[in-house]
Amino acid sequence: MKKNTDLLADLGRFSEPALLILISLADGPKHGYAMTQDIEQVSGQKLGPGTLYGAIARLEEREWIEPLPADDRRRPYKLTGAGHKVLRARLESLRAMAKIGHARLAEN
Amino acid sequence: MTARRLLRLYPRAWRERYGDEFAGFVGDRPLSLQQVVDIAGGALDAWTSRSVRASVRGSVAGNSTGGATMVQALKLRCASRTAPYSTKDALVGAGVVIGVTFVMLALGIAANRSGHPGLGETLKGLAFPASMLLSMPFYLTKSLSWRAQAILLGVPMVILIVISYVATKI
Repeated sequence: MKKNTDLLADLGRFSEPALLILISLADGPKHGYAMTQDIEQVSGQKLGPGTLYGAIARLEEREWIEPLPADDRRRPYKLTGAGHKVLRARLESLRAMAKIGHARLAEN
Repeated sequence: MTARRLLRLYPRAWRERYGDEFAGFVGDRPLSLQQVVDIAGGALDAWTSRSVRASVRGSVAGNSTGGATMVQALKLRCASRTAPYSTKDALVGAGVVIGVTFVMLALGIAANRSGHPGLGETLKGLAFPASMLLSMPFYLTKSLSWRAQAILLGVPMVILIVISYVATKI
């Protein structure tokens, strides 16, 4: 069985947009436009529509996010329990990696 | 170029699932070149990614269940993941592979014997891959639009013919 930390990496070139979407949904449901605004504020990256919906479809297929009833043409998404676990594992892994990186920089 | 036009590049099932919110997201404002490239790349991904197709099919099945029980919803969802062709289609496809392979090999041998070795080798080299491609509309790509089939089959076919022809000249 794969570790939660490896699961996001399986998304290939969509792994980073998917991580940013999961982070964006961590504080509550958002629709596509709100997600991209939030992601731009948090990471400085502006996700294009094709990339955003490619990542959303993959996250939905893995049941890490789920759609809520649409409001006009805007459909919000929320993080599922499984998505929460995957996000937590990935963030822990990034924290460990950053710690090692900082320690190595300090050595030199 | 408007988003509405670019949306036509996506598979119909994808448009039914995400089309409205996608159009709402992009809006009516003119798109930058970067956005056009991103949307076109997304369309290619929607056609080719198994993960995205599964998500779209799952969502459509899920949406159509209404007040159905969880078991019924699961059955619908599983049913939507079956291959888009029947056993008969697959047998026809296999027949096309075998038939086209033999015909092209025979033509290749005939061309060799009649003093056209280049054409003969090209036909023999193409026999199997070309037969695989020609069989696809009978089963694997049967559910796709004619335009998608033309791209999926036409482009590899042209590449194959060029490679086979060049290979005989080396």
